Amino acid sequence: MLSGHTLLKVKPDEIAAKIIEGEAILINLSTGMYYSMTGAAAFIWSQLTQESTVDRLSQAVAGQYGIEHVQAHGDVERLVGELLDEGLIVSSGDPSGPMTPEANPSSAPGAYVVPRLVKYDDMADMFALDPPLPELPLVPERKRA
Amino acid sequence: MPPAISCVIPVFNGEAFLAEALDSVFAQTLAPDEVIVVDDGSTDGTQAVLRRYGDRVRYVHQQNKGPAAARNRGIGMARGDLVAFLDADDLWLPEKLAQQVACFAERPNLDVSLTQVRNFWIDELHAEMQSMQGHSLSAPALPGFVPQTMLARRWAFDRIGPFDEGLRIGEDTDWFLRATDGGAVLELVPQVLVLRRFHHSNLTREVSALRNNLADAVWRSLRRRRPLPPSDVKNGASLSTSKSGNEEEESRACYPDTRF
Repeated sequence: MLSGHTLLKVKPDEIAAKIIEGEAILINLSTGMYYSMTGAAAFIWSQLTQESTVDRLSQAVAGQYGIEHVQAHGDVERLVGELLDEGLIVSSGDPSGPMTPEANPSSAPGAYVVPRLVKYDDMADMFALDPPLPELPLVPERKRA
Repeated sequence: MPPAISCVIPVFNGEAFLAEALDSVFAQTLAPDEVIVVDDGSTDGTQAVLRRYGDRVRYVHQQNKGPAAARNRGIGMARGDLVAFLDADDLWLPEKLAQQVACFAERPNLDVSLTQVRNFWIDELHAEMQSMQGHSLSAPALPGFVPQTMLARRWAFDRIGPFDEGLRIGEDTDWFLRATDGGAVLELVPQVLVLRRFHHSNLTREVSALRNNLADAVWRSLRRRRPLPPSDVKNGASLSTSKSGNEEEESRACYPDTRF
């Protein structure tokens, strides 16, 4: 069971992720599934890239969008559950010490929309030759055509 | 009479494996009508390797601009109705072109034929190969969404556009996404007809750059397929899955001018 203070972090070895023009694009290179998140969901993802917890994410979302903490907590908890189910993040125990407060984003957040993970499954073949390579040793890079 | 085939091989400092690549082309049971090697600014013995093939190879040299630009140069030179690519470190199996040309004969609306790929490791990387046992890269067959499996109608590049020369890596995925988004007909041959070599300097090893460009390519693809910009996405179910078929229909409905 996920507690509000369980540490959550992105699985960097398996996920290609980038936030572009406010949209978070995630590719699970192990499964070939890819995902889109906008608005509050992209905001939550941006916080997860530095590790966080449900409690801290809820606090950040409530502050960012000016909504009730109860609503933020419910929405965050559900989205985090989906991200865990899809293998995009992992829980890694409880924080051992105080966490650094998260910075307030400078850009205007826009109206709050329930954070949503949109999932696509139509490109698995296209990513099949670029799976995660956690076991490959580093080798010198050389340019080639 | 089968359509004329041009084979384009981009190469940058590929002296180590180029001869093997060329030999695999000349060993085809259905030979290409021309082989074009685009030397992307090599400084090694690439030219010496090519001299051994004489006029069996059309050769052009350019300043180093990356694989996308080299392939585009080759496409521009190609005289064939069908264009195939091979990387200078990879190999075609002898039936590759013959099987793919048969696919075009059976499916007149086919635009791009692709094949399965099997990876192999150079002897020097034996330990790496062993460490990859059980990994998906060691699978006996993998879908080959890479240029070295392609046999494409030459005019497909007029409609879809060239490889994006701004991308030094991931330009092939970007092209395939543009092709499918535009309604091109792609078919994956079930047989392994290309062997992809793992060595010290595969671009695939540039994991960070590759992942960055893949994410960019996916984002652009989603934008092409969407009826509305991301900021206008409405409230909805927490998790939804889009199937390719439905997505394609939506795409065509929304972007009729981008249909292939």
